[in-house]
Amino acid sequence: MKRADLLSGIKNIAKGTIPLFILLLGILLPLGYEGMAAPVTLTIVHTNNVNGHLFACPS
Amino acid sequence: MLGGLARRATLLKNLQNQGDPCIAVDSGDLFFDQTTDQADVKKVLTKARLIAQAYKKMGIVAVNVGDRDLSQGLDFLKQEAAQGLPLISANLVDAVQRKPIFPPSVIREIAGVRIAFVGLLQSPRIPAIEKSLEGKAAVEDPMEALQKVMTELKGKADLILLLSDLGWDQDVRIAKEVAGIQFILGGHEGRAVTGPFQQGQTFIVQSYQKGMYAGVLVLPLGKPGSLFQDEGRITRIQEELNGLDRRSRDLQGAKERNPHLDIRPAIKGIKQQKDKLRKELKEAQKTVAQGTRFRWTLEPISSSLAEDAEVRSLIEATGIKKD
Repeated sequence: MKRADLLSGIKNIAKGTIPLFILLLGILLPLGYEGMAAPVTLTIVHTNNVNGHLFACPS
Repeated sequence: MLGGLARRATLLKNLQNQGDPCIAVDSGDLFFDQTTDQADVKKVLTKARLIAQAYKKMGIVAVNVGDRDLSQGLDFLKQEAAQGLPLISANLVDAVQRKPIFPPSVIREIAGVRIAFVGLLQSPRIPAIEKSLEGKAAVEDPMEALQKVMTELKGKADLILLLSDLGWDQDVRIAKEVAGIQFILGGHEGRAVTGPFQQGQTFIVQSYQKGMYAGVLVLPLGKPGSLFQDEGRITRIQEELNGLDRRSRDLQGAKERNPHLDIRPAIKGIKQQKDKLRKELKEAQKTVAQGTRFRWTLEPISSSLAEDAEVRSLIEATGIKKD
């Protein structure tokens, strides 16, 4: 095989591969970001010894 | 002036509106204060029903039964539980059958993490409360009850939080002797705990009393199984160091004004304290960086919080104007 033919073959593969690579990146990247996103944070509001108080008390 | 049910509801709503999951729990002694005169019973029960109604509207996840919650007998609590208030207690049992009167625990799955809340109370020591149970209920040994629940929860919960009305000393004992509890949200004395107390791998807190503050625990749920570390520990040590620096400067100033003043022993003491704190700071910086960092704050229920209109109107409908 001539060198020119070899280069042309590589070019053809690249032509198909690069768009495919970009397509795969487009599909997978958002998932990747989601995986790296900050974990869910749970807030727990806690009370004790409310003792029936409805209103504010002197602090 | 701090506190108020309607403002507490607003704090919860504000936190819920921030987007991440936000739930509310109570460790007990929610409804009643010590003993009540017979003349006050009607008012006291009206207030208690109102609190239960408001907490249900606020979407409370678990309410532990405290010893003072028993002061009007079991009927009130049973009625509220039947109407959807999620009362829990692992060691309040039927006096005859010796079975828990309310569920020992409640499990909520949030973002795929199963979180269990377990409830425990101390045996009532006030004769009037004991009398109000009319021999229908008994309080079992909290440690035995807890061991039983911990066995039942094996494989069913990723995080276990104890809602305790046992008091500080008992909570510390539990943290020492029972593995697998990440947090003890305590009560009974009603202490103001600004910095969580760490015993082994368990953190113990309380949120003061009379609803004047609410404890806010912020937990990342991303790494189940990794140890929790108190994010505020470093700040608190740093603040203590700053306080010692200020004290040292004050002493130097006093010495300049009064050259005969011997400040050497005090300065030596401060230096020793600072050395100890610097070691603690180094250790904290190392451990906090390794684990899952949580945040605990005591939020004052101040007048800057607007009153929740719905809860406000519930209170107004009762005609009660002061506690």
